[in-house]
Amino acid sequence: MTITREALEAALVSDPFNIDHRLAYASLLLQAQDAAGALTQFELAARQRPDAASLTGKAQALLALDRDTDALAAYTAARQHRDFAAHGALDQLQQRARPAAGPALSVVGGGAKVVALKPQAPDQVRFADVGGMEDLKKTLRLHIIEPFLRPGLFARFKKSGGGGILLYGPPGCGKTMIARAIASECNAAFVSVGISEVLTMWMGESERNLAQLFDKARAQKPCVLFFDELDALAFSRSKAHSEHSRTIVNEFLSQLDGFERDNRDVLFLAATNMPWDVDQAMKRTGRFARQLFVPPPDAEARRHIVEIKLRDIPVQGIDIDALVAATPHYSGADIDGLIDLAKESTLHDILSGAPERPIGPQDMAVALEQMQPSTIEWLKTARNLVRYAGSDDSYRDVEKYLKQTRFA
Amino acid sequence: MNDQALLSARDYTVQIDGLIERGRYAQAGSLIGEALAHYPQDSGLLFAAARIDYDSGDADGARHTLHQILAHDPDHYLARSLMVNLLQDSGDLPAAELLLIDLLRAYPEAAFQYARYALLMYRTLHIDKAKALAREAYRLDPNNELALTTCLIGDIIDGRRGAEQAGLARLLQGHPESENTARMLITHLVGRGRYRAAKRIAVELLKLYPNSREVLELVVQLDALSHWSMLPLWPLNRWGWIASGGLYLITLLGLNLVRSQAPLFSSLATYTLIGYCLYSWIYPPLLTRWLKRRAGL
Amino acid sequence: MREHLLTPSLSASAAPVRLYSIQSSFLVAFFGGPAASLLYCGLNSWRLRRLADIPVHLAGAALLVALAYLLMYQPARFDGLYQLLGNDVFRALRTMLALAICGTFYALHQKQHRSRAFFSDKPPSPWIAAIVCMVAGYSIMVGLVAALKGMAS
Repeated sequence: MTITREALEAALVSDPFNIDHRLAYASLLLQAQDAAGALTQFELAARQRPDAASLTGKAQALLALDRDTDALAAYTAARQHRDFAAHGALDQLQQRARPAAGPALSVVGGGAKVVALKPQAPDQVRFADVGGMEDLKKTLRLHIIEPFLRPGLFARFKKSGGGGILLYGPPGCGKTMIARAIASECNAAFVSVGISEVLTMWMGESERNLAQLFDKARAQKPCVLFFDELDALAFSRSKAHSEHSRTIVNEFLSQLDGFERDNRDVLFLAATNMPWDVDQAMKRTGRFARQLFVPPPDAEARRHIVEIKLRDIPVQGIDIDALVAATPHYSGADIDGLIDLAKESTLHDILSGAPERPIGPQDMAVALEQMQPSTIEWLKTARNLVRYAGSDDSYRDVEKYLKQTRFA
Repeated sequence: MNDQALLSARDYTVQIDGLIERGRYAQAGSLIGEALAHYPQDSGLLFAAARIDYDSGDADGARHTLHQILAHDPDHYLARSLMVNLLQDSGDLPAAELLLIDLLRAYPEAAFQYARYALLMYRTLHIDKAKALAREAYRLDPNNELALTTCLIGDIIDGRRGAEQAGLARLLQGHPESENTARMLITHLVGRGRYRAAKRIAVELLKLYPNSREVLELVVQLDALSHWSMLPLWPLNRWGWIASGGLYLITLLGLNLVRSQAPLFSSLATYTLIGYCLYSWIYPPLLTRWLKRRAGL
Repeated sequence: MREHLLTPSLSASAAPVRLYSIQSSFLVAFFGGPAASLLYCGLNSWRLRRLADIPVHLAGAALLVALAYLLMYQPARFDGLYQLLGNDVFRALRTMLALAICGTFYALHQKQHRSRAFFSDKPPSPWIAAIVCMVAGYSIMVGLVAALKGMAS
């Protein structure tokens, strides 16, 4: 039963401390385009009971008053609370507010050297930009994105989400791209730590560098902190010869454990081509406890990649379905390489005196003969691991993929 | 790879060593190229380049670089130490021995080098000298992994089971996660005929080093030894040629007994024994070949 | 520092020792007989420069001569075995002596064989040596039998 504005006003007069009535009244005011009045009510409610609903309401009112900065601050504060539910317009505001260029974080080396971490890409990659891989995207949405966006919903069902996730798989299959897409879907800042930053950490001051890294991540909440090539930073201590390598891993583990208390708006992602080189402690609860296999692109994804790569170049008579069928286990980089070879074949013909022509099926055939997918060695290694060491479910996803694709 | 101001040679060395440790030879190679462009005579960087070449299988490249280092710095410890590896790999064992002796004269407390010398002596069948060198290595550094390993090898060769167990226990205690320890444990278990247990250890090793062809071959061999279809051959695998000799005797006596006591079954007994002999001869290599092919070897 | 440990043991002019494998020794013994086995195992003894193996070789040779003599001129001693093994006695005794010789030399060279097993160095190819030893062993047996017959007559 909808309560009228007058009834709510009367109820508030008789019981000024009824938060639910105040929030309902504020919402009615907002709907009636009385943003200033709504703001006053939301602020009163927030003073009495600062929770997701009151703070989100305040943010909406501020947005309606074109006070974007204040709206953003209120929305960020709302995220900290248990019952937080995303609001479309405020999410868009948050996205627009990301810095488009310049370093988001820096790692301070010895002395005054400042190493800029990778700046945010101006154009956001979204899941829609990642072709195919629907199963993986569904898993990522259920286990990572939605728990991050709607922690309240998941808390009500007592389902945990978020935490650290490790993406592993053969090289060139889009792990970094998927990590960026996750950040975009979560409307969070994306901070990437790659091999260059790791190399800098090896030179010394690794403890300080890591601590500063995590501090900056906290300051940028909501944030996705992505460790590319995790095996480089968190190399297995049982294989490391140098004490320095072991020290870095120990420091990394302490930072991750110390972050747990305060990490609601920071999502840890990592990617690696060599999951067996990552220290086992990294894969335990509270760290990168969930490992997801990112397989080579499936047929749909390969078709998507091929279509993009063949767009705007002269082609004729290429059967894309046949090409997709002829390229099982090809990574995105392999398909790139394949099309490059086809281009070379065409150009070679043209430069040898043949009339200018588009890329045709014969060029693709030549390219297919020369090209060997780069994922094969990784898959062979994985197959042997699954065959001999698969009893502990570490590579269950890989086993499923190998069975589905009948990888011999 | 690095877009900062110029790094010092030492900083480059640290980064390259880190990449080598992680098996990232391509990246290490690219960084060493950049580093040597700025510091072409730095012996630390040159040594790193030699290591990359050696670990990537380019023995000639490694040798050339090591000669370059030793031309400027004949006493360079690491370069000489790596040169020993190269000489051993190329089969020039006398030269490797001489270089090891030089290193030991220069560094008389180097337990690791004593242990390497012991291994060389084991390889060339100078057993007594090898054991003495192993003992010396252990005396200098009782926690050194290679010293413990060479002492354990001596115990295994001598057939001293108690000492072998104790040596293995020391190795497991001091270096439980080392690949070397796993291999010695596998040797110990195979020597006792415990192939399944040895295979489990080898599988754990494979989980750590799934890219290692050597480890995969070891797993395949142990998979073959512990395969259910090899069970009838367990005595022959366990006791080797003694079991074969024993089988011959049993065959001889058994067949004659059957001929005299149950001549009806004489042919059956003969063919069964011939069948078993053929099976013991032909089947293991076939199984191993099939398992290797299945593993992509 | 123990100076005697730092004296070189390897020589540039002499290749490091490689032993024929126990597998090949067993097969030569089984198919070639005791004389072939003595010769083939002698190759390992020679490679190891083990003078202490000489008495064992001599004992093996003496046993071989004694066995041949007994089988030819005192077969009654083996009546029990004839009952057990029938006409296979000669072959059985020959093979068992050969295997015993092979086993004895394996026991003498066991440490070296065990040490070799730790390294991936391949043993030398046994084919030529095995064939030569088997042919020579057969010739020795023929000669021995002829000599014994000659002595008896």
